[in-house]
Amino acid sequence: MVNVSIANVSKQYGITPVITDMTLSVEPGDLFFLLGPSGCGKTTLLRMIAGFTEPTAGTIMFGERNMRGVPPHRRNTGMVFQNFALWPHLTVEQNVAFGLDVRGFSREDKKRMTTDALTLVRMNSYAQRYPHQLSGGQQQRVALARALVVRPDVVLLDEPLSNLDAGLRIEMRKEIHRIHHELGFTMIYVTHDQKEALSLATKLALMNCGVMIQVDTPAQMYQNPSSVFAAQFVGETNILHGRVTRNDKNVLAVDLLSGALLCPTARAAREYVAGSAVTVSIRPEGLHLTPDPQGANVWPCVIAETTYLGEVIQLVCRTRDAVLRMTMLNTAGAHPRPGDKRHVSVNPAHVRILDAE
Amino acid sequence: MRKLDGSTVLLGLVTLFLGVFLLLPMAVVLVKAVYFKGHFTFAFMAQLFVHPGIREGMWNSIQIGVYSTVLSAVIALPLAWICVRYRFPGRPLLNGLMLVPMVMPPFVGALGLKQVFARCGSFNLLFESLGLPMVDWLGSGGMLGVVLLEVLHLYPMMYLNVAASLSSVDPVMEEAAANIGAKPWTIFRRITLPLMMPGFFAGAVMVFIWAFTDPGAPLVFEYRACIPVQIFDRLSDMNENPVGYVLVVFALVTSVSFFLLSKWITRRKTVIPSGKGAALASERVPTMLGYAVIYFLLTVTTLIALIPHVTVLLVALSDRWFMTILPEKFTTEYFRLAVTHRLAASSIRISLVLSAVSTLVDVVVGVALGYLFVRRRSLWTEWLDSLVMLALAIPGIVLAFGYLACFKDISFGRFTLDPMVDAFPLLIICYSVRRLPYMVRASYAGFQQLSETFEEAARNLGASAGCVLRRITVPLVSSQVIAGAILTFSFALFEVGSTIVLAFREQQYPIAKAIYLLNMRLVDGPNIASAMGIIGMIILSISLVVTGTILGNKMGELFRAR
Repeated sequence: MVNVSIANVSKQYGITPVITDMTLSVEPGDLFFLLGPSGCGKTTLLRMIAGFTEPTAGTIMFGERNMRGVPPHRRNTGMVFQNFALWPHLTVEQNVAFGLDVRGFSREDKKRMTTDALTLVRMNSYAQRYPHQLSGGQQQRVALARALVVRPDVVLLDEPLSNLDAGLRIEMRKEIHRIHHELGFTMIYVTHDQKEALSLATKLALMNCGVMIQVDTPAQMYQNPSSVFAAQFVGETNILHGRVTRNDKNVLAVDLLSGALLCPTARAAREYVAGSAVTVSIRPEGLHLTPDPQGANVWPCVIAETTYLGEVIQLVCRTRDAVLRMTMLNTAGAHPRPGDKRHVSVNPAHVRILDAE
Repeated sequence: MRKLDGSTVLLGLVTLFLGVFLLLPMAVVLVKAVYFKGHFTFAFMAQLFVHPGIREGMWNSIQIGVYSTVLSAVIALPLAWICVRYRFPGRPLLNGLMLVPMVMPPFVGALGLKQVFARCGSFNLLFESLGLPMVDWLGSGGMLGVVLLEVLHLYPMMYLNVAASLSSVDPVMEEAAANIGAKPWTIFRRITLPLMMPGFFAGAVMVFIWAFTDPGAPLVFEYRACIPVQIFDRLSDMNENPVGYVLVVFALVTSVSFFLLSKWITRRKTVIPSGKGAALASERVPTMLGYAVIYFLLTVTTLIALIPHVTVLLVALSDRWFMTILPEKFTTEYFRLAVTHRLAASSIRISLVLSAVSTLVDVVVGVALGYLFVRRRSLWTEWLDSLVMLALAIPGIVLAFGYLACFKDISFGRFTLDPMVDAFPLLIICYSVRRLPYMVRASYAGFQQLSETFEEAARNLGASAGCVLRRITVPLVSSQVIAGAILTFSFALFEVGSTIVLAFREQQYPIAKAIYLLNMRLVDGPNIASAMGIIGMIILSISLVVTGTILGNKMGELFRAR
């Protein structure tokens, strides 16, 4: 296993920039996610790592090895394609054995390794079938086995679950997690599904319009997004606009139309001086209805909408300048109704102060 | 400046080749029709509308084209409907049977039909013995016979086009109409029919162009009052008399206009193929009456389609067959002669070699072009694609006439293009140019179905470029390529129009011209010619069967997918 480092990589098609000056490092054993909306360049980046396209500028290194000019078949990566790309003229077994074939393994080794790989993805009883005789989920498993069997330095997954229906997607998510856990391969995984990324990644890189926005662990990314885009793309959030009124050593005060907000300075993405315009992100779980109208971070609000979801109730309430979404546990007692005048309390631990947008 | 890569060089070479061997001859023909002895004149063009013989020929040829097209449609449309929409035992067999008429070109079939349907042929003798009146089966001077042969040869072309088009009509479109209250007939008229029109027009125009410009069947029937035969008759004085050029221009302009018209119609109403297996959903199991109708139609069609084959076989085997319903004595002597007779044996060998070489050229060029057209789309490839396809619209006799006008005096050192000295180079080029569209379309379809990720997946797993080509790309497109190659080969084997124009020396005659010459020999000529036709047919059938074995049940799909 190697670490994959990408340094100042840019890619242009003609004059259209697809990726601009991107730098990141994937450590051995990472299940590294490239996350971003469609068209943000994440698949292009993956294809550059695989060697199907060369960067216009910058370097891609596998360990100490500069990959510029190295053709795809000399890179020892194992890629799982979005459409699986199982060769229709070969059986499941032949598909999986192909990579071993071209590497010149002996017949016995080939047989053994193929069986092992198919067992790993629980497809060993389908070895003699052809791809068109398999369901989508089964094809996915075979595609995974085909990529893993050659013991690649890095496994590349290009939106591997996007062609599966919702139920299968969750099942395969667990499957990929299990396989990564069992084998400890370095994997780079492209997706636009933030839930997939949060639930699987050991580390994730958020991209937008060909630019790297943030590289972090899922928990860090969710709790401490560095930009409004990151706050909105990863998880649900409420966005408000205001101005910093005070910044002493520990506490930051922000004036919002909805009311005043006090929070630890650690909740700010960077140092803000009094007077700077900021955008505030508040996660739904940081909002609660409170009976007590007094105290810090409590704002008056009107309930606009309630959605009954069983164990939780989803609320939309209107403050003076914002529409806030939150959920409350479905505990005994009177439920809020649209039109009710209430107070909402903000938990500063779930607040993030960001550059104004 | 961009680097000169392999694909650019290849595109350049093919463009140059088609420019010289497709566009240039046509341009020369057009010019020579209006430019004679140093000045421009439309006097010869006017002959088309003035000269009674030419006017008659034009009218007859147009009639042959139209009747053949209409009759082909009458046969092919119900067959296509039945085969696409109904599930019944024996349907896979039908796709095979569809090929049977294609292995028997009209001019070979004519040899047998003449014997059976002539004024004193088997049918009339049979009628006479039954006390029925004699019938002029072949029609005024043979036109009916020509039409019949063209139809029996060409209706599969219509069938394949219509069936492909029909099976790509998404049943959801029909269901949507039914859902809002349309009756079945309304659905057919307002939804299905318009959607399958592109396929129908594509097929109809191909049938028209073939029938309209085929000189083979009329020559065997000695039916001279039609354009292709008149062109052939004017070859000898083409240098002194520009009327030959005028006739060629007429045939060319008519064919190309119909071709462009069909392309225009097709372009406007392209059917967007829908999701997977859409056509399967609309397959129905027929009722008892339905079964009866289906099998009756299939049996009748197959029996009629076999008439040329059977009659040619009878002629080839008959020792004496004169003024009797069936031959009096049978013999295999003519088959022996067909493989030993100097002219017959050498022509079969020559045709095989010429077809093989031109097929090889087409496979190499066609696969490369198919790849570039799919994977390296640009304005240039689109334009070149249209140019390649234009060859479909140019009749063999017209192209060959253009070659004579252009290349008769061209030679480089000892290598010469003059067909009077050596016809092989021009024949090979002519066959290749004429059949290249089939090969390009076949490999184009292959590459289009082949997702690029199949190749990328193999590269990713460590396969070198050559290995990917050998183990992934080629196996995945091979079925299409083989199908295209066989089509190319079989069409070239019995190519008539260009062969009779370009082959001048007897020792260089391919099958078509040898049969033409033998047919005019009084005593045993037609019998030897028929035996040759049967041998050619057997070769074709074997090659089709071999392909069928290699490809398994994918064979039928291939001819449909085209």
